[in-house]
Amino acid sequence: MIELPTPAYQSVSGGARQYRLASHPEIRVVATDLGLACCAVEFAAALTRGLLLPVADADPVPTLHLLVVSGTLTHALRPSIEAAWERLPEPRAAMAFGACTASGGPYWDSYSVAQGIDETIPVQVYVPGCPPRPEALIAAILSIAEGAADVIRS
Amino acid sequence: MTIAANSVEITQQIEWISAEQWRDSLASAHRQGWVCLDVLTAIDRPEQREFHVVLHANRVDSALGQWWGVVVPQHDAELASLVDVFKAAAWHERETREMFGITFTGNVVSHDPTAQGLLLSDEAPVTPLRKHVPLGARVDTPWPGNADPDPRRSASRRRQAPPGTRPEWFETGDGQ
Amino acid sequence: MIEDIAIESRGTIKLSAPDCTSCMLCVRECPVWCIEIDSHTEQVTPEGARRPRSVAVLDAFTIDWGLCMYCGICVEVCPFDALAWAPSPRGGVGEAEQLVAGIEDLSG
Repeated sequence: MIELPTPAYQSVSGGARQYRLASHPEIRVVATDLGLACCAVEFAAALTRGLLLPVADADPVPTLHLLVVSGTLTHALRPSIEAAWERLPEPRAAMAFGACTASGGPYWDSYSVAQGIDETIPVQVYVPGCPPRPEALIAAILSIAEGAADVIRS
Repeated sequence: MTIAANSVEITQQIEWISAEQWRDSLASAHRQGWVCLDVLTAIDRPEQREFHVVLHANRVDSALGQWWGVVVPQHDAELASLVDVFKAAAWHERETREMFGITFTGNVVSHDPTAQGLLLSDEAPVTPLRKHVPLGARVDTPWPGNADPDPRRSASRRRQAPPGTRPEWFETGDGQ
Repeated sequence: MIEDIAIESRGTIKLSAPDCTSCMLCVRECPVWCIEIDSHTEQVTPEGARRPRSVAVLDAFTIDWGLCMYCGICVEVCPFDALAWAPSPRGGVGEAEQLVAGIEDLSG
């Protein structure tokens, strides 16, 4: 099994990669960017456009842990995203961001690519696009946060 | 190979070398400053029953790059390894061996049975970049283009192969 | 929304169903096989015409957005401009099956 770079993942709890929606300060979403290929650039674009903002560690608002999987999942990496999902604290949700994560996308016929991440981890929201635009990422985070509002507030 | 870069067309010719001269020629090129290997891969040419193995190396004293190529027959898919010329060739040759089934004589790792499976999982097809190896999903999935609303057109239309496939993928029997 | 980007920039593709003749060009050119068309022909005699002629009637037209690579080849090959780029990106859905959009969804 190929290990994901652990320091980067651990930084989720360290605050370096925790983001909230700029438009909805009351919702604290710890969005973990699990970028496997080019779609990950769109997550970065959402940051640079100010659509997502970092949250402070001291922020008392409860958290939804969101794993944003973007890019092409090869068979070789399946155990790694499974491990990332298992380490994600509750309440949690996973987003399939882009065609590759939904179906394999342009690589749907490949000998080395999984036909979607939902063969490996449960998916709450599928965002279509090749790649989707940053606004689609924000809209999907919002829909997940709204769907999980009860969980977050309890 | 033609590469469009900043509207300037740069044509990069492949310098073809015989299989016998492959290692010595590249060793000579290395001595002349082509020290940075960045690509070594193959192209399956089933109709010609051969592979093209191509290599790209760069200089460090200028921005120049150069391609070299060699024809390798499929019935004797073996070529001298370049690991003692370019260290980076070790990885590329293992990958080319795994994807195309070409053996690189002198690449010790490539012949180590415990070091097989550089990139492919156990379930993956053998030599998947050989063109006779089907892209499984394109064989198993019915092509939506087979449907035709007009039965007359459908009868007269020559049966079209689904894009991205080869006819031999659909042949039944035990052939590979 | 980001306004200053090209219309082809991964928004969505819209279908104008009345313009579609079920010629199948888009279906056959799609590299990822994400378009499906189901249609049949009907004999129609236009007013004043002596003989009936066959017209294709579109029964189903689907795009699987979970597969689509937004290459736009379908838009390019359509001889009747029944497919066109539109700016608004598609939203997320809860089930992979909901990524398959039909005539109504694609015409909206």
